[in-house]
Amino acid sequence: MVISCLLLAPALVAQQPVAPVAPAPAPRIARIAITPATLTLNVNDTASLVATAYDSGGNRLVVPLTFISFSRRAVGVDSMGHVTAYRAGNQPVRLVALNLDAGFAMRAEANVTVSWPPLSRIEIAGAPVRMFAGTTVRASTRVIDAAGGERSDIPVTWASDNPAVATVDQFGNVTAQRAGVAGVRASVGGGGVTGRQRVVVVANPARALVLTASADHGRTGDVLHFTAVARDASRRPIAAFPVTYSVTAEAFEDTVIAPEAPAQVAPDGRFVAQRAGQYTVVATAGNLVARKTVAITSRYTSIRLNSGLGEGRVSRLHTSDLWVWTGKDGHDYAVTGTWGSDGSVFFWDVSDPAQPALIDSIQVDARVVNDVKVDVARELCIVTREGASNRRNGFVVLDCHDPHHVQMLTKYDEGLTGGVHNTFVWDKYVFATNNGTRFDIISLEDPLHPRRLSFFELDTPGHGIHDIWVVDGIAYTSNWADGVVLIDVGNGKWGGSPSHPVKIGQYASPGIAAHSAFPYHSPTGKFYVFVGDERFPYDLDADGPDEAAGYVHVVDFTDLAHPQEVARYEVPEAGSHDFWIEHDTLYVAYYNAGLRVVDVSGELMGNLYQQGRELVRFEPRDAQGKVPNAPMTWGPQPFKGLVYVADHNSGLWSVKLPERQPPPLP
Amino acid sequence: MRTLRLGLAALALAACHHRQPAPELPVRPEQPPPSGVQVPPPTPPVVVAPSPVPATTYRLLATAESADQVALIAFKPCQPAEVPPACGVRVERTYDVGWWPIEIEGPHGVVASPDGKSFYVSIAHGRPTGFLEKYDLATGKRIGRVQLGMFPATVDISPNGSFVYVINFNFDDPEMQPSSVSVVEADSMTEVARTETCRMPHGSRLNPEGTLHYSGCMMNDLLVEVDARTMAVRRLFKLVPGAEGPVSPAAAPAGVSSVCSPTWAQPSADGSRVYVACNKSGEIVAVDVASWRLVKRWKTPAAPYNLAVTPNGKQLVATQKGPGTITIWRLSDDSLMAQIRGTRTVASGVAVSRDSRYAFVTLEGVGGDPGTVDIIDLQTLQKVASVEIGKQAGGIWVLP
Repeated sequence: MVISCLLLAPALVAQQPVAPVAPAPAPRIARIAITPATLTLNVNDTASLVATAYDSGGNRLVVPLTFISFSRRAVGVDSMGHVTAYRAGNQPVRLVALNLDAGFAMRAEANVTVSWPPLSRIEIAGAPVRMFAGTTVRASTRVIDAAGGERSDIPVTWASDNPAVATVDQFGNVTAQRAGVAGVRASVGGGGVTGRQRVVVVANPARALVLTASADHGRTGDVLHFTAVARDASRRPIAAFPVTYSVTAEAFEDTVIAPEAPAQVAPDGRFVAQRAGQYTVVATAGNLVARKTVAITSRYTSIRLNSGLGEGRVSRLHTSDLWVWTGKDGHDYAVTGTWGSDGSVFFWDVSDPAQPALIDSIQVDARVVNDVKVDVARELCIVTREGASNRRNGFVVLDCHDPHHVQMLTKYDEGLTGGVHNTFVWDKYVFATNNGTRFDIISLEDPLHPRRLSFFELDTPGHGIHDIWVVDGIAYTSNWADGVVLIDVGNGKWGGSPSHPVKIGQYASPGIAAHSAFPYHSPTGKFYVFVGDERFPYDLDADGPDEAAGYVHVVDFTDLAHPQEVARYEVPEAGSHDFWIEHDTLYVAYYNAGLRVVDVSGELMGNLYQQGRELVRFEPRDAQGKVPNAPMTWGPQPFKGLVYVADHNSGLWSVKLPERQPPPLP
Repeated sequence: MRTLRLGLAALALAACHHRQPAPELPVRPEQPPPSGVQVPPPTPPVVVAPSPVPATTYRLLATAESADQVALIAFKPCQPAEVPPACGVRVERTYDVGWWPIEIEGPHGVVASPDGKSFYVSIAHGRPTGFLEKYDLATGKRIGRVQLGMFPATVDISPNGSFVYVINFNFDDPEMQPSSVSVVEADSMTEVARTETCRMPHGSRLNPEGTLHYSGCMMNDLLVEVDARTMAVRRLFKLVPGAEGPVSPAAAPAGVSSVCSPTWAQPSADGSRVYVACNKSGEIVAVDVASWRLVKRWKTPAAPYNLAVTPNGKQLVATQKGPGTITIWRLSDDSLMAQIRGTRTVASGVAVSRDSRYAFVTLEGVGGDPGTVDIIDLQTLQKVASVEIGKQAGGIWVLP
């Protein structure tokens, strides 16, 4: 059909005039002048530049000149020198006129400044209309310009028009002094634009402040809830009475000299300590103060394992991911991928975890098999491909019912040529990251004939995706700077299905580099999603020891619409990779820091690493590894009481963890 | 009437709009041409004694796409009394390129500045868009990086080194959206223009004056000419066999078409012609630049992939990806001079020395194979040397 259509079309297309091609002789340009040399525009303004070339005698040359902009999304310029201002900025944009034959060295420049729109208004938030005398609250501002944009770079000046009633400091802290009415204002440019908030100060009825805690004792890492209630003369609680919490520390454990901040208390009264000791939380409400002291004991001292239980050494190639499962024959098996090599995939019998035995290998057309997953029910293995020789990557479906003799069933690469970096198998579906931009949902109902059902893609500028994990029909995708995204892909509660994925939540924070995610419903009732960064600030030497960076963020998704990052697990001088959580335990492959096993029981807050929640660490070292004695753990999987770890530089490990019991409370 | 004809043409083309699968660059064995088409055997070369082996050391850069490396290779042809290691080919140095060390990011195209002090390499994969990187040749230090579009691939540089032209191949887009050519100011490494061209552009080459840029559209069956001065599309040429001809940019076919599926556009040494590798239809097409008309199209023994011409204007060298072979054509009569089997399969990039004596060809290999650079003497029509580099050898450039 294509050929017949295209045979028809040319006959109908009118003959186009032939454009002459006239290569220009090399001009003897001595200089190029541009007018005007500076411009100041507002957004959406246009202007024209005129550029002229001259020879050494000052004679004007008729030569073609090209205009270019060095920030074309802020200021555009076309071939005729027509300028359009798109975006305001604090720095001028450089425009250049040159002759291509003469080269960049012979050029003229103009600088275009695009002015910010005038400010329109200032909105004040946080300062209540009604305040109790003697109390302080923090106000903030939003400065809005005429185009509706928020200007976060504009400092504001605070003032009160009745300081006897209410004062305000340079930071926006409003303190109610005595009953009356005052106006608090924030202004810019000597009062050119001002925001105002009327404050009515009423008499302070509070006569007592009562501070209670959810417990008098705890361990490092335990979250205690402090609650301060202001009461009037009749001992009735006063609603919405502002309270400020702070903490002082006493009686540290003797071994700690000059510690970092040993504890923290949040504005809502949540408290957590990193160090054992006695801590006094102080609540302040107006001129009332209340104190309560709690005792905190140490949680754990991490145990360092010097050896694993067993190793399946891979010394010829770098190892990537793993998956462990029990076959229908009752034996335990593992599959591992390879990285930067020849597309090998290895199969192991780990029925005796002390002696993982290599039982089969298969080679797919790829240079990276980044991810391996197993559909245990149907004994299908899914392995991803990148660097295929025909550039058609996608994934491969293997028959793994007999891991001693794995057979290739089919490959699926339609629309997945860009490389599948990670997949997840849930129900009869494969969720495959596609070209680093989106994920595709492919039905494996008929394993011999995979079929794409749908895909999901963010629409933020420059969006990307790295990983996907599906639990109970909800996909948790790791999207680098866009953070973690939750999508209903079959749970149905939010109307999603494999054919119709529905986004249900997202969390991102400045600087996050979301690489992997794992959901966890804590017995406390909290719903956490752990999100790991991946960073390499020091580059990577494939043949030598390396140091990564980045940490695991703990995001409270209990309220899906308002996720909050509440904690982190950050090992210094190392970087997080893949992890797994079950039974209140976090298993993290922390690259050059090895396997880390962390107690994540209870409510979480602060830096779990500093709180002594780490139970065990194991750094796999093999003198005969691909890179000798250089731990670079890729991914963990707890399985039948053990932990299996894929290490990039040495292969597959099984680890037996020592029994740990939490120390008793005092 | 003209409007009616154009409208009918548009309708005809619109009726053809249907999604075709992404092009496959298969690893397939040599196949005979379709029945009825005769590929003439190589014409016997005129017996002329080859000129003496140059007493020159050639240096070139080659990318290893699955190793995130660029190799600096030195080739000193052996004089009659010489044997390696006094002569021959070796890897002088390997540069690690790319920006994300734990991922294979795919360096694809490579060029060097005219002063030989730096080189530029396209990095296909990012988060998700790729990059152009600039390295100091002497120190190996990265001195610039700019983010471009999806899958920056083939690269060329203006004769004075001021601008680098990078095709955003966008090969892996399931929707096959139209892509572009990026223009980067070489000193500041700033993208100063991104001109939308077509679906899956590939083969980025400037004419000798640096005033016109050419690329092929693998999924539009077009040859695109961009005016380097205005950085706008100047002319289009449809490459479908039997339907060749100029197409107005305003009337460019919007739908997917891959009958020819051009993978390279190579201007001749004097800029008067553009040679296009029609990968899918297994042909080379020659277009006259002045008249913008088809000059000739001829069958190749297997699907051509990349092209290069000798600076003396006498020969055209084509890689044939699947079988890993290289064909050499005499441009005086567009006849086949030789077909040479490469050291391994998947012949990829080709570059010719400035003295027109040698062709340097990259061969990707498969799986864990190393990449290979073969060196062919264009006078004796023999492969004279080979050297292994990192996996999936691709882009190649001869240093000044």
